[in-house]
Amino acid sequence: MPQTPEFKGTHLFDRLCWAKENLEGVQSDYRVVYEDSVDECAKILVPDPNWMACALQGGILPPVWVYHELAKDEAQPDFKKHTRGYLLHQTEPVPAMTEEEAIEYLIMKDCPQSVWTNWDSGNKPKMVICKKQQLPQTREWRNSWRISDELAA
Amino acid sequence: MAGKIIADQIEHSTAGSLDTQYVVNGSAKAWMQFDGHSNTVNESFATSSLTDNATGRWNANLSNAFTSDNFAHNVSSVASSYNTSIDAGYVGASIASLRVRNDATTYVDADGCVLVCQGDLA
Repeated sequence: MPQTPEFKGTHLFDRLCWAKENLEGVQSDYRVVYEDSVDECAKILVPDPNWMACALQGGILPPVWVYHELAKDEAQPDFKKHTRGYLLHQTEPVPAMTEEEAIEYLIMKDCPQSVWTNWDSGNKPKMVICKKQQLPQTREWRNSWRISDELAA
Repeated sequence: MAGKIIADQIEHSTAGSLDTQYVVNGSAKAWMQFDGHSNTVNESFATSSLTDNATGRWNANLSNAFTSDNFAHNVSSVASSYNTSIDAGYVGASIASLRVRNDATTYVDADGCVLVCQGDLA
């Protein structure tokens, strides 16, 4: 495995370019199933193989709180443009993660905060981490997919 | 980084010269190619995940946000058994969305789905 250069203050785009050139993609079997609306079917989050390689390598991705700060800015009613993009580039990158830690990071980055902050507070879980083999094998009735009631505690 | 060249312009021996800002501003900043039937990300750059929202509807989540949701966002897909119409939705500065419909304007899954994003990074 190549050694990650010491990326201090390096633009995230440049770090991702280095990763694309030097790391093999890692296809994860993990999938995150979540429901963020009672009127819609379940959504499936699929990790990107190149991103997963970055997470396992370490020293490339910014801490997840950086994305939360940018999301806060974007949620402001008078938001026009990001002005704190430097957080992505100047914050020290996170060290190597296990695949499971990477999935937790990804949930906090790419799933709605309303889902992962209280995923287990209703009558049944709003979010489930599973292996792709556990999903239905065909996409027939895809728009009816829901998290099973049998998973209720 | 090793091998860094700082230049404002590059020049060809006969074809003329070009400001490097054209290269920087004109390059794709993120892209993804995936199979919409199996939800397999085949190749990508600067994306962290793919969200399968429902039949024929996906979001690519970006690693590096753009300055705003006004980034250029090109999409395409391959569907062998029917004509498709494709559109890109604007969800935020770090999400690119792709929707595929058939002749009857019903959302359908498709192979070879591609998203390419250009613009100014945050």
